[in-house]
Amino acid sequence: MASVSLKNLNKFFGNTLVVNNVSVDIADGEFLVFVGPSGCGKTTTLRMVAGLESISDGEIQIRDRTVNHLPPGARDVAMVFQNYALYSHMTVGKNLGFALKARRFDDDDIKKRVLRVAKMLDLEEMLDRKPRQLSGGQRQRVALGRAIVRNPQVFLMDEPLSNLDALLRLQTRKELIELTGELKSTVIYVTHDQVEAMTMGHRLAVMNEGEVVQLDTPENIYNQPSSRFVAEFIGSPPMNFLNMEINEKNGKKFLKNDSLVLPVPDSMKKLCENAVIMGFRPNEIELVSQGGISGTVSVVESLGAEKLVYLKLGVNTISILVPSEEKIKSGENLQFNLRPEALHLFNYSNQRRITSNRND
Amino acid sequence: MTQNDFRNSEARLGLYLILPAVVLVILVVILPIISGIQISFTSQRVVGSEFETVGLKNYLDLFGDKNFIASLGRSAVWVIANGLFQTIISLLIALLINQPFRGQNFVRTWILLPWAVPAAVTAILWRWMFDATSGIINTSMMGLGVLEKPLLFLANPEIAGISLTFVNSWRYVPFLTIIFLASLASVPEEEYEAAKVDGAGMWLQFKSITFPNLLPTLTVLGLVGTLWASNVFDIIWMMTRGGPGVSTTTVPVLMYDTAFYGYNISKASAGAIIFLLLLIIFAIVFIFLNRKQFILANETFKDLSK
Repeated sequence: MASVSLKNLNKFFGNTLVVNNVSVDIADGEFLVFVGPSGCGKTTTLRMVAGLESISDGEIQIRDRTVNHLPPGARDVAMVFQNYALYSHMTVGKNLGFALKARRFDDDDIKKRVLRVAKMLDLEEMLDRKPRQLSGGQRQRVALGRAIVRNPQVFLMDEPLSNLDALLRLQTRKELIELTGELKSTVIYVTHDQVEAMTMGHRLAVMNEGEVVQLDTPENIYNQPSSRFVAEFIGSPPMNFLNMEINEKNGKKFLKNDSLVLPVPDSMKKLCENAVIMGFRPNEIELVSQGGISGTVSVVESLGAEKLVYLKLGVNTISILVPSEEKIKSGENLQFNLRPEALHLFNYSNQRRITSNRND
Repeated sequence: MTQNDFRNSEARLGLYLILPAVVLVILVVILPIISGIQISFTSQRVVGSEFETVGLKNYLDLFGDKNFIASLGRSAVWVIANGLFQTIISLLIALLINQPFRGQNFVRTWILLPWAVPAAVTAILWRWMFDATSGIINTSMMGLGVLEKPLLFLANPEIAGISLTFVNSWRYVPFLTIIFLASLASVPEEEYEAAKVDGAGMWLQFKSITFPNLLPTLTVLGLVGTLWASNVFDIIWMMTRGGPGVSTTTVPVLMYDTAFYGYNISKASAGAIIFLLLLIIFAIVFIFLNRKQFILANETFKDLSK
């Protein structure tokens, strides 16, 4: 296994900059997830590491060796493709052994390794079948096995679970976490699914419009999103945002809009903006019978264990999560409290997080 | 309307729609073949002349006819030479122009040009280019000092067959190239990408991805191309008339010559029927031996038409 380091990576398609100055150091054995909406450049970044896209500018190192000009086959990386890219004219066994054959392993050795991986992934019965005779889940395992059999320095995975149905995806996700943990592999994983990213990644690189906008552990990204974009993208249901003015009264600062007034949390006292974007997650509220923020219920969606309630607060609509035992009807009035720690404040113009300890 | 009625009316509409094609095939294919079979059992010399029924005489004569047996051999050589040459050249061209390059679309379109040129024009063009005294090939080769004296492309019995194979290939290679290109386009790009990451070189990629994907197409072309090449008459007749001597006299050329210059249409008909039977047997055996590829090809075409 090996460390991977991306240094100031850029990629142009024609005149369009699709990957913008991406720098990430991935430690040996780390599971790093690139996550972002479609078109954010995450797959292109992965393909540059694989060697399937040329690098417009910057440097990629694998185990401290610059690989910019090495062909894919010489980089010792294995890739799992979104649609698996199995060799349709080869049996499962031939698929699994292809990379070894390309590297001129002898036949006995190939057989041994293929059998071992087939056993590991429960594919022994299918070695003589062609890909089109397999189910989606089985194909996915063959694609994975094809990568594992090589024992590569780095695994690259491009949305490997996105073509599976929901239940299978959940199960495979768990298996993938166990497997990569056992193999102690360095994994670079691309997904647009933030739940997948949160559950699998040791660290996440959240990408938007070609840039890495935040690189941190899932917990830190969830608790301290660096910008409104990250706050909205990570977490489900998404965070609520309200535009607030900052008012000062008797030396105390308040967040205010047409329907509510909240004291600025103590930790944010140094706040010098006149207006901010205030964010809070739907699950970080507390229903109260009186004296809280009041809103009118517009829609109630039952999620099973919880209910997602859309509330009208003046001109804004927010969503909150409440236990499913609560009996709530649309049109009814609800009151809730927001703990000051639950508030995230973002700069109104550049949408960046306003941190508590900043001095500018 | 019940579902059954609907199916029936749909089936009836289908019948009406194929009816003109069926009538046409009966008129221009089935009837001439039947009348050819009839004529082959008679002693008719020219169309419209008197004749009597002679049974299998024409067939028995042909089996003892050295000219006919030799022309069967020449036809076999002609088919194999054309088949191999055209397949290899068009596959190479297809692989080459399948690589992205500037002007790719232009080349892909205009490469079809030789195929669209009428056979008569092709024949005249190449006879002129092959000409010993004024042809561009001989004059430029001698100008460059490659040749000391002109090469008799069509008049030398040892070269004439090769020259004709070349001209015939010049006509058909573009068409085959387009077929190969279409077939190459259906090979999933990710398989190549996976192979690159797996460390496969160009040759291994061709052997394990490109070739298996082309195999159904190659098989279908193997059949169709054999039948086409077997029946080539126009180019040969217009360029050499089967000569010099009988060096380029394939079965269709010999039968035409027998019927309209040897005034023996019944014998020619018998020869044509024998040739037809041989081709039918070839087709049946070929399809049977390659049935798996034909099924695959059928699926490929279904996929392409989706």
